Amino acid sequence: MATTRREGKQYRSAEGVDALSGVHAKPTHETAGPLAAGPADAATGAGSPDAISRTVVGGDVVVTFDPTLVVPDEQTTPDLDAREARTRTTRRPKGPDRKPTRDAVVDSPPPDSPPPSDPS
Amino acid sequence: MVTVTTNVGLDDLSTGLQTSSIGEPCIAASSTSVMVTGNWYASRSDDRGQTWTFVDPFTEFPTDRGRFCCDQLVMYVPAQRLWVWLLQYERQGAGNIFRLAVSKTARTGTWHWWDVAPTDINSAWTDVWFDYPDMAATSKYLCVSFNQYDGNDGWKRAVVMRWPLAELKSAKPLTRRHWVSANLGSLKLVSGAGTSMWFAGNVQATRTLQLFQWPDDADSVTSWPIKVSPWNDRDYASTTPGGGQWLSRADDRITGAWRAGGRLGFLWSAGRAPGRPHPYIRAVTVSEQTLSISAEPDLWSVNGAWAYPAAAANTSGTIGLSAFFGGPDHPAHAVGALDQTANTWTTKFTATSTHSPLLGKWGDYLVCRAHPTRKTSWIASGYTLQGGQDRRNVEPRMVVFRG
Repeated sequence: MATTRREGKQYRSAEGVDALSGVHAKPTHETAGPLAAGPADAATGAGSPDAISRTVVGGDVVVTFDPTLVVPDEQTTPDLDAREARTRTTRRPKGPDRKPTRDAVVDSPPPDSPPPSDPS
Repeated sequence: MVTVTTNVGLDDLSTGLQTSSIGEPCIAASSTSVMVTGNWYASRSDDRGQTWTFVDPFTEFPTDRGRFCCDQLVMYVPAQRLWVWLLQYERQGAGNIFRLAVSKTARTGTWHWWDVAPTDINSAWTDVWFDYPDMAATSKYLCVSFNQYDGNDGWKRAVVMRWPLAELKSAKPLTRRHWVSANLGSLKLVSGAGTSMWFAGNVQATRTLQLFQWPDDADSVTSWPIKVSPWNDRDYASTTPGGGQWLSRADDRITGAWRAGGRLGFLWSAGRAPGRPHPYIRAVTVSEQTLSISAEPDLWSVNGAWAYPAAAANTSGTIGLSAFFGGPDHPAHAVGALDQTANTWTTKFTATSTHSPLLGKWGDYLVCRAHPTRKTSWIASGYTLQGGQDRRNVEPRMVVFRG
């Protein structure tokens, strides 16, 4: 039996940066850090015109959002019954298409299979 | 022996009736709070599950990058005392975003977030959208995996990303690293990762478990193919009362993965095969040191189908399970524990549906985690249908059990 791991194949990863996108409008100091004074350009048409504005965090403009001011409407919330009806009966593929191979023929259960088990 | 110590169904007020028969419930807990997410609701409890407050994922965040769509994951990172909530958004044009939100309390009004689109990772990825996330943490990093699909729902690639946990605590730009596979999808991250993230996909055609390691202190990902015993990735037939099916959406992607006691473990739903009269849970455990197979402790039954497994080690190192069992009866939720010496499972029902889903729409994943304070316990999510087949009859479930 092997006692050491055989060599694997190595792949490089790549680096990037994700800018902060938003903070809740009443953030605590511990979660959001220092905010610049006051909302800047109030945005409209995004759920509730009063809920969303913009502010500066760490030199970058980010969304400031107060969820307590939002009244759900069709812009925020779809028709869930229609969505349920549209859900798929089969899933999107888990990965790339693969052609079955002869080796894949399932002709026996795993040799060291445990006994069957039902919930009690 | 498995003992269920808390078994709570979330009522209509707790979910805002925003439930779906494809429930996908996720659960996370700190020492004082519990958060459950699912299609298409979230709910929080500050008294260990006795009472719940509905949290609307459609209105908790702005619609500036589109509308909340569907898949959600939530976890609590004890070392950082940080809640992490991942939400998948609807497509706008060809692409979508996922929103990575963090909070110290998980209370409304305390989150800050980062939005990630495919083009943020690679500017050439203009024709794809994110779907089917997984999320787990190492000592230093939060890791997320996603599939990407084109406009025709064709699979294009899988991406694994990681961000420093220390950076997530602050409201600042995040340093991200990512790794891409165009050969293998639906990559499942292990729970209990430690100083390396382990993740895996499987290939039925070659009987292969493809295992990956991404150490915290390295920028490269290493991969090993591991030959395992065969399984069938078709024939998930399992008939419910009335003659319907409940596993129309089931496939063989890995849905449960853990690292504990020097072993890595992986679980997935497999189709009927000789010696397996019903769909069952395919299980493979691997030595972390040698990457040789330790055991293949499948969970199967002559009386019904097992499917959609989730698993994790508790703090004592024992492996716990959350899964569905059904056909010929209505789908039930069950929890269990694996005896890694005997390689046998002990399982227990938590709830049985009164009805079966329409058109086999069930799944697609459950969650099982180490209990945050009880060394020999786990906390798990589940769901059943209670009183009808409508999506409003879905009852999500929080279960605490020990074994």
